[in-house]
This record gives sequence, C-alpha cells and structure tokens, in this order.
Amino acid sequence: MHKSRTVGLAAAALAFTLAVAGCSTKAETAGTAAAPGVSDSTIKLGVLMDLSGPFAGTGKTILDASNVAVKEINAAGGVCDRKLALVTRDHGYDPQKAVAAYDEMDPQVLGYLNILGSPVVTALRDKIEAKDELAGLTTFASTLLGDEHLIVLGATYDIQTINGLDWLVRKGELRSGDSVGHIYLQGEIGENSLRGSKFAAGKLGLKIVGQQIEPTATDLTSQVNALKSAKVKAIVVDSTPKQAASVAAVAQAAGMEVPIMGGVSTFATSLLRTSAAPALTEHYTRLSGLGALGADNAAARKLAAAWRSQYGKAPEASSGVVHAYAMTKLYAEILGKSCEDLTRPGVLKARSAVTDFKLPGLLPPQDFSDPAEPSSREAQVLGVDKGVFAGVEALGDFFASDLAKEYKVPSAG
Amino acid sequence: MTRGVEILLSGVSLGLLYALIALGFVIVFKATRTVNFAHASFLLFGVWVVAQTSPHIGFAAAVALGLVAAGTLGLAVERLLLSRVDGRKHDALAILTIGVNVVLTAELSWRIGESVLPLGAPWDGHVVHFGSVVLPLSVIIIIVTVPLLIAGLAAVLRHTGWGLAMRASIEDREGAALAGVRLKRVSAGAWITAGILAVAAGIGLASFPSPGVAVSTGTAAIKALPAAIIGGLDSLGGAIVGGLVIGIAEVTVAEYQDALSFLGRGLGDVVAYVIMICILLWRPSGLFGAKEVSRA
Repeated sequence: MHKSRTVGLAAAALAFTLAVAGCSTKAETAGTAAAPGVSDSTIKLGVLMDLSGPFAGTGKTILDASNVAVKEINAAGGVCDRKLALVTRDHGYDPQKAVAAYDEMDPQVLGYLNILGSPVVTALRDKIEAKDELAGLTTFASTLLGDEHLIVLGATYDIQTINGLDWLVRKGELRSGDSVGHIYLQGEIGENSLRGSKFAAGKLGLKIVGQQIEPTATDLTSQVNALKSAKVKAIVVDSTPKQAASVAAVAQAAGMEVPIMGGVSTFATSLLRTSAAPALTEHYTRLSGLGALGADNAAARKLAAAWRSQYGKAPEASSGVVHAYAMTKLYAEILGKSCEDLTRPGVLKARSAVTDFKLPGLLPPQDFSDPAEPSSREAQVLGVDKGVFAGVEALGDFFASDLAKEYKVPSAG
Repeated sequence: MTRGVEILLSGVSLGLLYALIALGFVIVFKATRTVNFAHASFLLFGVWVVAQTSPHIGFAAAVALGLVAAGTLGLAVERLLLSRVDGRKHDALAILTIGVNVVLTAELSWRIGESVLPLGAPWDGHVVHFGSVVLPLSVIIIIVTVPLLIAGLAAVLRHTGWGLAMRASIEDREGAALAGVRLKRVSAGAWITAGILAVAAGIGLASFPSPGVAVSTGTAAIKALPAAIIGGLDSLGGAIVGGLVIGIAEVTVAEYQDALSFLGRGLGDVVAYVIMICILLWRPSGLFGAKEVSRA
C-alpha cells in the first residue's frame, strides 16, 4: 500500500515535470508567450504621460488621440490577431516619478507607445536601451536621433525651420541680405531650431538676429522692439503658444508688417479667442512635419470627426492630436512587421523595416531604416483660420527644400 | 536712447506689478508674521474669475467680481484654516499656506488646462507712440494707476481705524489687544487686501501684450517674493522699491542677454534671486526691514 502510493507520487511528479518541460519547450518555440505585455488576445503598450504636472493638458490630449487610433486599429481587427491595449501612468513631468512608474509598469508592457518630456526621456534612456525596448517620443529634437530604441516622428525642429525660411525666400518675402529675427526658447526646442535657422541663413544670404527668451516671459515687447530696430523682414518664433501670440500682437500693434513663422509647438486653439487673433490670422504661419487637423482632406476630416464624436470640442493642441494618432498607427505598423517574433528585440528589429510609412493628408512618407536620420525632411506650411476645426489649415503640400535635404543633423546624442 | 527709454518704462511697469504682489506678501506678514505662499494661487484664481466672467458681464464688472472673489478667498483661507492654528506658530502657518497653494493651483491648472483665456480688457491690442518710442498702452495704464492704488492703500493704513489697529498690532501685539484692538479683524483685513492686490497685479500681467490668462500667469507671484524680501518683509515702502528693482533688472537682463551670456543663459529667470542673495548678505533684514533686536 505504502509502496504503491510512493510509486504513484513519483509518477505524478514525473508527469508534472514533463508537462512543465513540455510547456516551456512550446513557449520557446512560439517565442511569444514569454514576452512582457503579449498574450494570445492582447498586446499591451505603455504610455508615460504628464497628466498632473505643467504639461497635463498636452498629456491628456496625447492620450485621447492615442485612444482614437487604438479604437480604429482594434475595430479593423487589431495587430497580429491581437487587440492593442494601453497601460497609462502619470509622471507629472517628474523624472523620479517617471522612473518609479516605468519600473512598475515595465513587466506589463511590450514597449512604449509614447513618452512625454525631455527630462523624463533622459532619465529612462538607459533602462529602455538595457531592455531592448522601443519607445515613441513626443518631441522633434534632432539631438535624440541616432538611438534605435527611440522614435522621433517626422521632420525635426531644425529641418522645419530650414524649410520655413526657404519657403519665405521662394515666396519673395525674404531676399539675400535681409535680416530675420529669431525669438527662441532656451533649451532643446529653441536651440535645435536656431541651429536650423543659422544653417539656412548661411546658405540663403540672410542674417539672423537672435533673441533668446525664458519660458516664463510674458511680455515680449522688448524683443519685438529690438527686432524692429534691426529692421528684420521676418520673424521666426519658437516659444510657447502664449508667447508667439504676444509676438504677433505686439509686432502688428507696433506697425511691423512682417511674416511671423512659428515652430510646430507655437499655436493653441484658444488663442483665436484672444486679442491676438487678428494678428495671428494675418501674419502668422506655422511650419510642421505633421498635417493640420482642420485640413481639407479625407484623413484629416476622418480624424477630426472621430475626435469630435468622442471628445466634443476642438483640442487645444491639434498638432499633438495628429502626432499621437500618427505615432500609434506607426507603432501598430511596426508591430505588424514583428508578428513572427513578438518580443522586444523582435519589435526593435522591425522598426528599421518600416521604410515607407504614410498617412496621406496627415503625414508625409516616413523612413525609419536609419535611426540617425530624421524619418522625413518634409514639412508643411499651416495657416490660421477661425473657420476650420481647431483653427489651423494647410496652405500647400508637404515639401522638402534642397537645403533641408542637404542639411546634416547633429551627431547622435 | 529710444531703446533705453522703452526698457526703462517696460521695467518700471513690470516692477510696479511685482510691487503690488510684494505688498500683498508684506501686509499679511505685518499682520500675522506669516509668509503667505498661497499668494500665487490667489492671483491665478482672481484673474481666472475675471477671464471667465468678462465675456458675459463686461470687463469692468468682471474685474470687480474678480477682486471680490479673491478677497473672499483670502478671508476664507484665514477664517477656515489659519485662524484654527496657534497664531504664534508662524512656521506651521507658512507650511499650511504652501498646502493651500498646491491644492488651489492644481484645481485651477486642471480647469484652465492648456487654454489661454482672454481678459477682454479695452486696452488690448493698443500701443502708444512717443516719438520713436513704442509701448503697449497697458504699460502706460500700469505706470499711472498702480502708484494711485499704492497711495490709496497707504492712506487706508494711515487714516482708517483698521490701518491704525494694524500698525498698533505690529508695534506691540499684546499691548494692542489689551487696548481693545481686535487682532482677528486686523488679520482678516490683511488677507482680504492681499487677495485684492494679487488680482490687480494679475490683471496687469495677463493684459496685452500677453494674450490672456494661462496657468503660467500665477508664477509671477513667486518672482515677487524676492522683491518683498529685498525691501524687507515688513516694509511697505521696501516692497515697492524691491518690486521696481526686480522688474527693471529682469527686463534689462533680457535685453542685454547676449552681452551677458558669459554668465550663462536664462539669467533673467534667476536675476531676482541673485539680487536677493546679494542684498541679504549686505543687509540681512532687507533694504528697509526692521532689525531684529534680541537680548541674551
């Protein structure tokens, strides 16, 4: 009796061992069951946003736009026969909180759809690299190129500015020998853009009159007056939307009838309700590597309709909506190319296989084969129009100037 | 020459707004010996009320409502929170105001989001020309009206019962109480006044050429704290001088940033604190602050 029970237990143990071994062999063969964030029915991606700090509004917009795209992707059957799901954590623009949130959510996700905030990215880069993960970023800084783990989507700040100055020259607004004012924020955005304006000015025979500002500056009268004294023929602005509006309003009030070209982050829809609206409508254009939500094309109309039906009123940062939507579609495209190897290294490898990603009307063709190069050198000129959704419309097609093609981005950071 | 005049007038205008904010710090400090770190949220709350109501009831009525709202907020904070803590525990009171600031700012940030809310002021979009000098009309309005406001405040402190009670309670708190001065009323009046001054300054800061009220509007109050400390936290005249020093320095440094780039970029954001540290090394109680007297 005793002996038979021992034999029985041994047999059960052997069967259990074989079963476990069998499972693990199967898992290794499939190569997917062990990947974090991947199950038979779902692929989970992380979103690390500022939902409570200084960029909480932007963070919420990005999250909402990502959800619009996820809904569309899942309604069309998902990716690799699985539904996409987002795991969101708030970092409040605090790198320490971001590291804690990353550590907590990392075992649950395959990769990161979107991370907001330069200090946060800096704090997480080593971890992302060590784990062979792929992370989408909400930035256009060329200084973040060169790392295969990070996705910078579209034309970088410097290339946007080069295309913008080239466009002003081709339009006849600027000529060789003219001075151009460049009001720029200290830090990543402004200095990256200034690099572009200096390059373009050197090639086009223009003279850049730089005016650096701080993010907290509210009255830019002094800077505009300095540019008026320097007799500039155009002003390039890389600032907060509020500051760009102040520049436009002061310049117009001071009798400066010059074009004002803003970077991608210089406009907010609510500015159209302020006293700066007439000046913005008349003199301001914006350069962007992304299309406008209010553009007259099928893709923009579809996205605007989806946004309106889910969230009602127009977003403050419409470029943030287009960027987050496009980033989600791009990430799904990359995942689609790694269905056979749904692991972190597999996804990372699939990134460079995306060489012609398009969202006609919203995004020019993007090539991710070389992480050191911008995925596109094309940009579009956008104008302000109160009559269209979110107040911004496209003034032409995407284009890449010869100067933008010739420009060498800063070496990898 | 023209640029110099523009810089000076812009600096004076900004400095007068800082002075108004600094006066709010000083009045609360004089009445309660507490630094009010919730001042930034008072400012943001008041101008938010103005921006929200201006399209419906007109700018003038909205300003009146904003001033009343911020004064009421100041009173509510003092009555509901601070008066329940032992008034001699100044550190505890100051920390309590930090908590009030965090909660109020978070709520307002959530409500305002990324939006820029226009004030609808009648001087929006207007500039004035004095020969070759070009200035926003708001700068001239600030330079004219803020000194009048400050003079009015000084008259109230000098000639009203509340002002007398306040001055008496500052000189000798216990003696004033024995003489029948109602310290609670003095304290409540100070908090109401601080709220009103903050909103008056906020209207100037959110006026043209700024397009309107944003979450960042409140950060100006933090810049005015060094102004109050430079002048001496218990000196009304010192707050005005401190505000003007900070305002003119900030505009000048921004103007000559290229020439000053050897000191590092972003000097405009820290210049207020650099001046504050230098002055405190020279005069630990600020330029006009009363010296602490202690006997061993």
